[in-house]
Amino acid sequence: MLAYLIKRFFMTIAVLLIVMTFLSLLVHIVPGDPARTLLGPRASPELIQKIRSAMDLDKPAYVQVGNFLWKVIHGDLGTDVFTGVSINRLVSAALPHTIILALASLGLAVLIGIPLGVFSATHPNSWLDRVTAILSISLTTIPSYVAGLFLLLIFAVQLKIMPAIGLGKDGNLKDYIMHLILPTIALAITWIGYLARLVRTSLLEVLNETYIRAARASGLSGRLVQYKYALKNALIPTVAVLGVGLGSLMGGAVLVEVIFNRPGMGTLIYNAIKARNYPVVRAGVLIVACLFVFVNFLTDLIYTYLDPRIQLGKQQR
Amino acid sequence: MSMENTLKTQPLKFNLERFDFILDILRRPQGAIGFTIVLLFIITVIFAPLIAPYDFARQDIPNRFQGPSAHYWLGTDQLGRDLFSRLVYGARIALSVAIPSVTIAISLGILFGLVAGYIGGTVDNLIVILMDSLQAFPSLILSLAILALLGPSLVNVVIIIGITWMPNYARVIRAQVLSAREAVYVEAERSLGATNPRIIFSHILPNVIAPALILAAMDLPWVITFEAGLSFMGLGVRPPTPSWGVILYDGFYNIRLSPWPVTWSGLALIFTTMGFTLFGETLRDVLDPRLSGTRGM
Amino acid sequence: MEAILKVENLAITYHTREAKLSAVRNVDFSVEQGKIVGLVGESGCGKSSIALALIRLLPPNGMVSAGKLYFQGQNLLSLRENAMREVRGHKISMIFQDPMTSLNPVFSVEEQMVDAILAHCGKNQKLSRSEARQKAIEMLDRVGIPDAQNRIRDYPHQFSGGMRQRIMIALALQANPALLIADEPTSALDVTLEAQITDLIRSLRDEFQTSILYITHDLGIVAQLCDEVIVLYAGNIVETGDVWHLFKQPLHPYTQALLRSHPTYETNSRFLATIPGRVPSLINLPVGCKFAPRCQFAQTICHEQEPLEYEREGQKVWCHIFQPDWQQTSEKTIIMNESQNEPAINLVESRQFKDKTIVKANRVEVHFQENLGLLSKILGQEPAPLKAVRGIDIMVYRGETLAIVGESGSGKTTLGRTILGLEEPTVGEVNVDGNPLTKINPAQKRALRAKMQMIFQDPISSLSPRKRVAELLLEPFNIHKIAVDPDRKVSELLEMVGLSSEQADKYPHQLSGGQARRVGIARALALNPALLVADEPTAGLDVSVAAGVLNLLKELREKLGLTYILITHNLNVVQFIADRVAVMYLGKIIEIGENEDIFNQPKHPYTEALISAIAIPDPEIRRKRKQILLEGEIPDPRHPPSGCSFHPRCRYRRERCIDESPSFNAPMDGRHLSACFFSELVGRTGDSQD
Repeated sequence: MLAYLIKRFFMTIAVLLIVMTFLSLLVHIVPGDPARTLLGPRASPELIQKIRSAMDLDKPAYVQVGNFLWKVIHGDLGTDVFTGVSINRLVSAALPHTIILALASLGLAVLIGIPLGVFSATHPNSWLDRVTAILSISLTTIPSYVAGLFLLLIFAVQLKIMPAIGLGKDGNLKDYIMHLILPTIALAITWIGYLARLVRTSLLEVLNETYIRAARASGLSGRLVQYKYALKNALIPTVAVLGVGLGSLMGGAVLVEVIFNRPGMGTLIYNAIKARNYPVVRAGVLIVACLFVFVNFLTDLIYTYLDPRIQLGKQQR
Repeated sequence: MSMENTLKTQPLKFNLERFDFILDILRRPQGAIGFTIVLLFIITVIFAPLIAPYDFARQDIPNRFQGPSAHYWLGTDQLGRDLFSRLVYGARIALSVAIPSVTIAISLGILFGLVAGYIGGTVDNLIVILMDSLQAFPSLILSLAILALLGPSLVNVVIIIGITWMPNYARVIRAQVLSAREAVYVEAERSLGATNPRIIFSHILPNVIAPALILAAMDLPWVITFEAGLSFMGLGVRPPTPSWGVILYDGFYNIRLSPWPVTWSGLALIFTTMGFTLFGETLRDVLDPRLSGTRGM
Repeated sequence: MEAILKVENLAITYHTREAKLSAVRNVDFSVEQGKIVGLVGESGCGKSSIALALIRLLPPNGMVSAGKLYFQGQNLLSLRENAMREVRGHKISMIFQDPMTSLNPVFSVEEQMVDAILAHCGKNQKLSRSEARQKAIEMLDRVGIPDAQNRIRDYPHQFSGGMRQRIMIALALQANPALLIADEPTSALDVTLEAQITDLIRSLRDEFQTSILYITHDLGIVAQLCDEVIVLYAGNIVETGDVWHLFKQPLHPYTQALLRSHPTYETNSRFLATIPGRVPSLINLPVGCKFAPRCQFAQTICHEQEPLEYEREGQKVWCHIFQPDWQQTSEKTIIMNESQNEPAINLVESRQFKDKTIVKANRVEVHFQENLGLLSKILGQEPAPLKAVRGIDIMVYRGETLAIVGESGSGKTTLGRTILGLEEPTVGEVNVDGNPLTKINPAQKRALRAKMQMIFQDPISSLSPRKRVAELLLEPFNIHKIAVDPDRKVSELLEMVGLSSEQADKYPHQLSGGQARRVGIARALALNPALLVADEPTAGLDVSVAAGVLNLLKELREKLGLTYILITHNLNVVQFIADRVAVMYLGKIIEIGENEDIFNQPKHPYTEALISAIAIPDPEIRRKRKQILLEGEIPDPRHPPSGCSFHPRCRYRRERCIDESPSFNAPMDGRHLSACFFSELVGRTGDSQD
C-alpha cells in the first residue's frame, strides 16, 4: 500500500512538473514578443523592457522555466505585472469561491442524481423509471452555460426572485447562499442527469451478477441485497467518474462564474486572458491543474478503499 | 452455460458494411428521435442558403430586439439581424468546426494509441504521461489559455479542440490494443507466422476502430457545445460569423433588453446536443453493446 | 421414504423481445431425504433454470408457466415473497457454478457470512453479531478452510477458487438446510480440487442427512456421487432412474449416445460415438420428441407426437421405442450399436515412430518477470520470478501423440508454447526438426512456423473476430505467400474437418464452439504441418461435440501422419488418444511413459492421485476403486516447496523428500520414468496404507 502511494505521488509530481514547464513555454509558442502584445503597440520601449525583465523574458527559456518552478516550489506565484499585486493574493481571494461552487454543485448532483439512479434501477420499467430516463438524458445534454443563461433569464431578469450578480453583501451568509443557488444549479444540471444514468446502468449490471443471486439465495432480504450488497459495487465506477467530473466541473465553472459575475478562479483567468495578463493566466491555470491532479489522487485513494481487489496498485487479472 | 447466459449474450453486430443497423436504430424510440434531429440538422447545414429567409449579416436597425413575428420568425438581435437566418447559418459553423476537430482528435488518438499499446515499454510510458498531463488541465481552461495566446480564429479553434480531445481517443485505442494484443487470435496469427505490421493493420486495427468511431459520434455534440462555449467567451469564432456561441454572447450582453437571442440560440444548442446524443447512444447500443456506459466527457 | 421435494409438471418460459421461449416442459421428479439426485444434461437443456425456479430466483424475464413445486409438502409457488425468503438459505440452499463470481467482491467473507446467518436466526433465538461470527468460523472450519479464525476477515479475491467454493458451501450449509442445490459446483475447478469438493459434499450429506440436487454435465461425477439420475434434453426429462440401473442399462437413445461419447481407455482403439447435429435452439423446437432430429432410430411418429412415459423396474424413460405400436425395423437391441465410422486402421500396429525425433527440448526453463515500474526497481521490491517451466528435457518422436498432463499452474501450456517458439526459453534450448529455435533468425522462424501449428484453448476467441471463415482459412497462404485457388482450397479444408461449405461466409461469433474448433483445426492444418500442438482441444465443449473433435483429431493423425502434442488436464482424453504421457507438476515433468504403463502402473504419487480421480461413467468401477484425495492445493508457483515440490501433498513423503529433489535415474529413451524416490512403493503400498 505504501509503495503504491509513493508511486502515485511521484507520478503526480511528474505530471505537475510537465504542466508547469508547458505553461512556462506556452509564451514562446506565440509568434511575436509577448510583452509587446501585452502592452499594445503604443507602449514605450522602456516600459516594454521593464515588463520583459519582470517576466524573465530577457532570459533563455530554461532559465525562465527554472525560475518559475523555483518560485512556485517556494509558494510564490509571481506578481501581476500590471498592478504589482502579488498573484498569491489574487488566487487566495478567488479560489475559495470556486471551490465552494464546485463542491456545492457536486453535492447537489450527488444528492439528486444517485437516489434517482438507484430508484430507476430498483424499479425498472416503472413509469417513474421511464420519466427519469427521459429527464436524465435531457439534463445531460444541457451545457452548463446555457443552463446558467436560462436560469439568469428566468429567475433574475424576468421573475426577479433571485439575485444574479456577484457574491452578495460582505459577511452576510444568507445573501452569499442566495447568490450561490443559481450558479450551483446551472453547474449541477448536467451531472444530475449523468449520475442518474450512470448509477442506473451500473446498478442494473451489478444486480445481474451471480453474487447478488447467491446473496438472495442465502435468504437475505431484498432491501439488504439492493442497498448494501449491490450499491457498494455499483458506486465504485461512480466514484471514478466523480473524480474526473470535478475537473470538468472546474472548466464549466469558468463560464458560469462569468455569467453570474462571481469573482472566482474562472473570472480571474478569464479577465487575465482578455487583458493578456500572462503571469496571472499562467498561475491561475497552474492552480486549477494542481487542484485537478490532487482530486484525481484523492479519487484513487477512495477507490482503493472501496474496492478491496485493487491493492498495492495492481489490479487483479 | 446456463440458460440465462445463453439468452443474455447476443452476438455482436459488427458488420459495418451492411446498413441494416440504421433500421435497428430507427426501431428504438430514442434512436428515431435522435435520427430525426440529426437529419434536420444536416439538412439545415446543407441547404442553409435556401432555408434562411435573409442574409445572416443583413441589418435592420429600426427593428432591433423584435420578438417573433410573421416577418422575423424568431425575432431580431441588437442590430436588427434576423435570428432565424443567423441560427441556420450557425449550424454550418458548428458542424464545420466539429467535424474537422473530431477528425484530428481521432487520427492523432489512433496514432498514439496504436503506438503506445503495441510497442509498449518506455514509449508507452511516455505517451501515457503525456496524455495524463494533457488531461490534467480542464480542457476548457487549457483551450482558453492557448487561444488567448494564439489569438481567436476558426482554424485555431479546430486545432485546439482536436488536441485537447485527442487523449480520450488515445486512451480508448490504447486500452483496446492492449487487450487485443493479449487476445488469443493475435497469438494465433503470430503462430501462423504473421509479421507485426500485418497483425496490427489487418487484425488489430479493424477491431479497434469501431469503438473509436462510436466514441467520435458521441463526442460530436460535446464538441459543438465546447466550440459555442469558446465563442461565447469571445475566444472562438469571431463576429460577425454567426456561431451559436456568438449569438448567445450577444444575447447575454443584452439580456435585459430582449430575451429572444439567448432563448433561441440556447434551445438550438440543447436540441442539437440532445439529438446527437440520442443518436450516438443508440448507435453504440446497436453496434457494440459492450461499450455501454462509456462516454467521452 | 418421504420425498422432501416433489416437482410436478414444471414448465418454465422466458420472454424475450422476439418470442416466448419454452425452456423447460413437463418436468416431474422428486428428491428423497438424504439422497443425492443428479440432474444431467448438456448446456442449454434447462438444468439451471430448474434450479433457479426451485428457489424462485429466475431472472425477471423468466417465469414458471405451469406446475407445482412441493417442498416438505408445501407448494413453494403459492408462498408469499417474505415466506419464500425464509425458505431460501434456511431450508433450501444453493451453490453456484463459478466460485469466482458467486461471492461479493467488496465485502469480507465475515460480513457476508454473518449477514446470512443473522438473516435466519429469527425472533426466538436472537444472535449477536459476535455469536454469528463464531458460528461462521465453525462452519468455515468444518468445510476445511485452514486458519478460519483469521482468514474470515479476508476478502473473496484473497482465496483460491477451491477455497472460495468451500466458503460458498459453508454459506449454503450454515442453516443446515433440508435441500441443497449444487449447480455445477466443480466445473470451474482442477481435477484434484474437484475430488476434494465432491468428497466434502458427500461427507456433509452423510453427516447432516441433507438431500442434494446435483446439477452437472459430467457423467463421471454422477456415477461417483449420485443415488439417482435425471437426464434432461432440451427442457424435457428423457430418462430417470437409480444410478446403478441407468448406467448399466441406459434405455433412452440419448442417454446411450451420451455414455458412448465419453472417452475412456477402453475406447482407445476405436472412435467415439458422436451424436449428429446440435441441441435444438429454443426458438424453433422440433415437434414431437425433441431428440428425434438427432436420433438414429427416429421414425415418423417421433417427429409428430410427444413420447409417453415407460417404466421398467423404477427406471422411467420417455421414448416411442418402448410403446407397443413401435415398428421394429432392425434388431430389437438398440443398446449395442457401434458408431458409423469405425476406422480400418489398427492403431497399435501403425506406431512406427521411435526412429526419428521431431522435437527435442534440452533443460528448458521459462521464467516470467513481472513488468515492474522504474520506481519499484529503485525501491528494490523485485518479486521472485515466476518459473513456469523449471528444467525440462523431452523428446517427441515423429508420428506419435504425446500428452502433457497437468493441472492449472503446472506450466504445461507454457511448455507447449515454448516448443512452438511462441515463448523464449530463459534457459536451455528447443530443437524442432533440426532447427534450434533460439539460434535461427526471425525470418527462418517464420518459415518454420508453416511446419508446426497450434490449436488454441478457446476455439472462438482464437479466430480473428472480423474475418469470415474463408478469409481465416486463407490467412496461412497469404502470410507465407503461397498461391492457391481460394475457393477450392477453402472447400477442401472445410471438407477435411467435416464442415459444410456454407460455413465459409460466417464470422467467428456465428459459429458454435464445435464448429469454431474445427475451423481452428483446418487453419492449423492448411499448410500441411508436421507437428500440431493442441491446447485443451475439448475444453468448453459438450461431451457429444467433444467426441466429434477427438475423432477428427484421431482420423487426421492417421491420414496425414501428424505428430501431436496434446496439452490437457482431462485424463479421459489422454487415455483415448495419446501414445505417451508426460505428467507435469509445478513446472517439472514428474512422470513420463507409455499410455498403458502410466494408467495401469502409475509410478508417481501425483499421477496415482490424478488417475484415481478420473471421471468414469460407471458407478461400479467408480465406487470400487479407492479415490486418493490430495491434501491442500497446488502451491504458488512463485514459491515452490523445497526438495520434491510435491512433498507437502504426498502421502509417501519421508525426510529425504523435503530437502532433496528427485530426478529421473535413466536417460530419456521412451521408457517409463518417474521422478520419485519411492516410486516402487506407489500403487503397491497404496491399498495397505488406508
